[in-house]
Amino acid sequence: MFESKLTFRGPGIFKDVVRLCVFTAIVMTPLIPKSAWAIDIGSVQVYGYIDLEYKQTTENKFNFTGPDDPNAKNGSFDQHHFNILMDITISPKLFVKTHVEFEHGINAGVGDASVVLEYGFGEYILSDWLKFRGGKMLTPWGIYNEIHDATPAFLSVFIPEALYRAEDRGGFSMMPKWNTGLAVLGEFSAGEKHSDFDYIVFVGNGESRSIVNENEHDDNRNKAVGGRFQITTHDNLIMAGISAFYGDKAISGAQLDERHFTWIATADVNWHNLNVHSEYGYSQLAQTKENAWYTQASWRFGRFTPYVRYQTTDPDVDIPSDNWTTYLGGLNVRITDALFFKIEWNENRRQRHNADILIDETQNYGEFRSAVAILF
Amino acid sequence: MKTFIHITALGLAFLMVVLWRPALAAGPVSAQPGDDLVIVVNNDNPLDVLSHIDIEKIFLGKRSFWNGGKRIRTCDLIEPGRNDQKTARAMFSRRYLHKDHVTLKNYWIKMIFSGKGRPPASFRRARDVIEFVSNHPGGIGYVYKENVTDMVKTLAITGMRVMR
Repeated sequence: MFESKLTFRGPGIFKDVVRLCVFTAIVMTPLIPKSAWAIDIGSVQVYGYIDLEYKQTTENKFNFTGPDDPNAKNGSFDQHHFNILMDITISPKLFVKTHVEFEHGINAGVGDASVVLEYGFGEYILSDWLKFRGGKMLTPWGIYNEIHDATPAFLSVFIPEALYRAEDRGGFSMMPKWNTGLAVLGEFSAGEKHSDFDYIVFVGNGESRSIVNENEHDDNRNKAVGGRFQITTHDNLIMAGISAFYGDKAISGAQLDERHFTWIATADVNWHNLNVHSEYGYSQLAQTKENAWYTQASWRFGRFTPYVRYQTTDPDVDIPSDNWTTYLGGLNVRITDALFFKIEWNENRRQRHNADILIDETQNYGEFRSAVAILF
Repeated sequence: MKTFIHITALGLAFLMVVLWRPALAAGPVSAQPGDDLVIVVNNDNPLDVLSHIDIEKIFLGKRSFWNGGKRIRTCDLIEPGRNDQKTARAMFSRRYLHKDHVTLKNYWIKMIFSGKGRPPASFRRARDVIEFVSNHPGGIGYVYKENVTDMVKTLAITGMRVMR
């Protein structure tokens, strides 16, 4: 008996027709003349920097969170940053800004090497006092978080770790470095000869477990909110600001969250070639409270700017004698407007109950740091 | 408690500096480096006068639009081969922005890397500045007086301060 292999699928044939039309549209679209949507190369500004560091400690150092320079006493070169930034003008009021970092001589995820989108967002400017952003952003927190990897943008080899890398000093991260979500920002003056104010407020995914990409998923029940407000005197002599962040941090997939609240106060004084700036930060994650502060002073002599900094972290205010304090002195040399050399000595004092100290590890150690950075 | 005292002390010290620092001198303006630079804008710009403070905000990226809504497009005149302190940009920066060229450079580095803004376009010749300003309805730049042509118009500047 002959059985026909042809079947009449009835309504199913409609689906096939739709698929055929979509496929045809996709194939034919490139052949249809259209206006150019590509961005004019003149609308794209590209910036970046590359640096090379050298660090060496007086003692080897380990910490509980993993190998962190386990042979630091050997001294190491580190091609720390190769960063590319793009500022793209879509229209007079619409921009796209991106910042990609290739860190520690990226080598397929070995060690700390990584490729990171430091920020990628669209920005619409309604006016100078009202702008909108959406995307992944560096959390606006204090002076340094938004420029924490931009070596040419600050004097020292590293930003003040007491506040911005408390997780490496026996504590926990004071604030999330990044946030994906929406922000409203702007700046305005109180009058022609009065101070300038700038603000930013944001809402986003906040923090998640380390196995979750918080730039894609929010694995806690609440959205994070935060912001920063700064005032600068009209002659730019003084800048003062305050930043805050509040959000839940998931600690397990079972919707168990810890509340994280943090704030930081900033003061920055510029008088002729003298700069003094200081920040105090407080952070509470669940029941653990930590605080940290630093003060830095520098004076520019032509191309040479010596600087000193005192910084200290109290990783858990309820644990006595766990502070980590660093005394730092260094020199920044502006060889050209695009080439910088930095050299500094860090003297670290760790109290005996600091969580970063393993049994029998030396509590105090010195570290030599240097860096060459090229800006383009 | 100790922390609260520290913060309060810092806050009081900050307030004292703000309230007690001497006011800027408001005396008569004598000839200053950069006086022979003039501000030029597109011929379609309705403005004839601009305040010194507006110049500062515009060239530091703090003001983005003219009153009519046109996007402001700034440009710098840089002249290679001279001492940094004597280029037109260095003189303009000192005179109108009250920053030396290093401070200005550091300012724009922070602005760029925090995603807050981009510096003015830079041109090595006055005629390129003139061409840029005349080609952009929101254009503004500066050139030496002798380089001004009828492709652009100059603005009078009010409220100049004595440089520190």
